[in-house]
Amino acid sequence: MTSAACVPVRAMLPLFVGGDLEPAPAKAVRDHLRACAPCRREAGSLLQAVRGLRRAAEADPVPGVDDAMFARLHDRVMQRVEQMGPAPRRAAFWTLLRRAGVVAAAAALVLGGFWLSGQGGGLLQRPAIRADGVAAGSSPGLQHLGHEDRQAAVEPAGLGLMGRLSLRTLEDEQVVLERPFDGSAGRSTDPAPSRRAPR
Amino acid sequence: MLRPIQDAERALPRGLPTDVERMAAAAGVTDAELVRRTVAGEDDAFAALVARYQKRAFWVAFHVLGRVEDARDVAQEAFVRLYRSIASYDYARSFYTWFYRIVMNLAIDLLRKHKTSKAQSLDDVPGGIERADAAGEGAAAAELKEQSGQVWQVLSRLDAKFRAVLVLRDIHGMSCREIAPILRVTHATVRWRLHRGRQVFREHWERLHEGRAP
Repeated sequence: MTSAACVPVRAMLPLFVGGDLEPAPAKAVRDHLRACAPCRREAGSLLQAVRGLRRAAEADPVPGVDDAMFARLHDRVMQRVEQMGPAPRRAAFWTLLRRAGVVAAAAALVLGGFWLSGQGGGLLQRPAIRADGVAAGSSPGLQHLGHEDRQAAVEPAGLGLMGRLSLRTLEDEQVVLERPFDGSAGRSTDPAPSRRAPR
Repeated sequence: MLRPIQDAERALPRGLPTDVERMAAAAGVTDAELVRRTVAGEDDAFAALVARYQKRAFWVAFHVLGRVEDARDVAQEAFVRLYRSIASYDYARSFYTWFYRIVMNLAIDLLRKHKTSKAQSLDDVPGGIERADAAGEGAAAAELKEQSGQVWQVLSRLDAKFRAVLVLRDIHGMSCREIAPILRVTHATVRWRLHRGRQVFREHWERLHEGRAP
């Protein structure tokens, strides 16, 4: 006849018989088993099965499994490995290449940041140019620009770094175009356009 | 203390080239060192790794699968995969855990493939029929042999996940903490599978004995 105290003990028996319980619960199970015959029978039955399992692999040699088989296995593995060639070193090469790529990208980011921050008192500190193409403080607007440039200026330039960089180019061109437009003055005719418009 | 099966697994196979045998047997040369030398292009280092682990790989696979041919194929494939991915070995971790994981994955995959391809009857269980004939041996050895055959019959009826844990814990003597990373499950899951696996094993074991009782 089992009691309420048997329930937790029975739940622990499969681990108890294999010696897989912590010392404290194992002691509790042992104490219970001393006083409870049904649980002892249950533990005995489990113990028999686990012992059978543990002895099974020691029973006898398996036919066909001997040193000759292992020698053949070793030879076969080494033959296949030789056919594969030096794969491990190739893998190591790609790992190194990947790491070098990461380092180069990080270095490019750092150098790019220095270069941008050193441009004329800070390119990124300039006021943003409105998306309609009229830069703050510049009266003539973009009417002197060619068709493609006007299209580019009308499209939203964005507030990010790339947007500011493209608008900076437009601003430079405005400086050039503030001179009288005679139809022959192209971008290529000005050998060194000034980088910033005088404020 | 190591049980006999574990002693046998650690013994090096005979007939190895002298250099390989010396390297495999050298206690001072760790598994990680052999991996490092293999990655550096030293073929003998990989041969030494194979020599160290081929018996263990074979026996684990055999105890999961129950067939010599299958276990041999799994062991061979495991070493090939090991070689292919050896450059990605994490030196901070245990080599044998990594290698056992490869072996167990291959063995469990093959076991599941077999189970879905055909339903095995009790007489078809390889562990039972591949054991040597008991005739002409002592009564104790014959009894042990018969019991061993019964164990393989029962194991073959268990789900692969229970079977893997029972084989690693009860036959190969690994701890639950060692088994968890090999099977890529938590320590608690290993304990639960061990608990449930032993219960199911006992049920089948008793049913088998009741069926054979006169």
